[in-house]
Amino acid sequence: MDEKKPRLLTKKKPASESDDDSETVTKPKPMTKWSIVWRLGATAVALVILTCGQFLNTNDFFPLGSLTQYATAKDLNGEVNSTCIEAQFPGEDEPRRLGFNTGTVGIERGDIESQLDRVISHPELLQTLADSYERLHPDEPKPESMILCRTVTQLENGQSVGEPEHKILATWEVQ
Amino acid sequence: MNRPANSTGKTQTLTATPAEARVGNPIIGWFTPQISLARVAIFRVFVYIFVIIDVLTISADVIPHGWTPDLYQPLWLARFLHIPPVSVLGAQILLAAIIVFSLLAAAGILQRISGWMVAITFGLWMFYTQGYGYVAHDHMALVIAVVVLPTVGVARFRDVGTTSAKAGWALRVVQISVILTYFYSAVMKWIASGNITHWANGAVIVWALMRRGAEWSKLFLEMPGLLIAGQWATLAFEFLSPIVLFFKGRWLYGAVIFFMIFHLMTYLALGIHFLPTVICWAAFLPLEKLIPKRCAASQ
Repeated sequence: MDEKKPRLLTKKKPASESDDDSETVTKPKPMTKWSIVWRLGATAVALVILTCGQFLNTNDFFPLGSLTQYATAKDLNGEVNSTCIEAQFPGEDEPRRLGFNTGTVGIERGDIESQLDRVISHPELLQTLADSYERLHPDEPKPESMILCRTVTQLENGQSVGEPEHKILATWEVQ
Repeated sequence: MNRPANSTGKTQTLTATPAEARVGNPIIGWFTPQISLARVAIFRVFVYIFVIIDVLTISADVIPHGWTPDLYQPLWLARFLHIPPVSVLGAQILLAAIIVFSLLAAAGILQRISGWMVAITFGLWMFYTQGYGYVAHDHMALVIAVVVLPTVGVARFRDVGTTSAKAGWALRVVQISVILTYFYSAVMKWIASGNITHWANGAVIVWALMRRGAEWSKLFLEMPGLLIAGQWATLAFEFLSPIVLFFKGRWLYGAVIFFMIFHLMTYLALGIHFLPTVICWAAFLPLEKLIPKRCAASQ
């Protein structure tokens, strides 16, 4: 392989990257200095951004954001919160729990949980969930109101006690 | 790391060659090892076919996001590039473009153009799946793989005996991304909890099982002690994960199998599959061995 190299280098000049030519080439030319420098530089920059993403605890630099999933410690005697979405339909006594996913309301539970404060302070954002529900379920009645809720389960020594508590976080009269 | 292939005939993860042994700086040599171009050609098939599966299943929420523009929370790069919220039609066009370019890139047709077009269109798709609040970190290695693969240039299946340091760098970067997905998630647990023992002795798995656990796995809610042991074990292998970058042969295969089993367990128990990272584990394997000898280019 190595004996071939000088011959190939004299034949192929300049050694371009159009490598779909000779079948006799077994080893492409070595990388140029610049080729190595930009690769190592880009690797270093990406590592710095990724590391900063962790210490700043931000996902903003995606794909080099913080790896926060399941990173928060949970108290064995604390509460387990789970966000839910309900809709009040005409003629029904109680609000009905909807699937919190893109197939039902156009968005996943995790997306809303990640901007929960914003949605609670701007409940009009629930209108877009109602609109999505209508589009995705054209044959079903239109909801009268949307209710953003939370179930809270109390833990004791890591085990749940009692029935989950139901809390209303925001409501919106559908327009 | 820059040792020539050993004489035992055991599997080499990144084929060491005499040329690699001559690289002056061992750090540069480690980041840019000479590997078979056929390995990249096969890895590209894994990645680009998976991209199609990803946009049709795991990250298929982009089209519904077209209905919820008010919930758009653009990420930094999307804000910097002034990328507007996606429309339903825009998402459908983007989906078609990703599928076409991924098929071309997987087949090795117009390699550079198709590779860069997947990087652009899939990158945009990622901004639209991750830009509505929740950012999933299982896509880090996949997105990086899609960005670095076109830098290799042309790589054909028959290039089994042709080595390239550009290919070595690309797959090394994917390997590092895979490993840091675990290592930095352990670091983040430390940062987020303040005291790592609070996380390990806490109720994270209980919390996850209650929120999204499968019925069979809820039995484990009766055994918080076992779940705490599981948390310590998770922490240990996440912190130790960087050593996999230096494994070879059986140790490497063992590590890959271990992580596959871990992801299988979390999938069965919690529905968390982590497939975008799982597929990138292929970057650790000598994939060129999958090419039949008669198909390899004559030397």
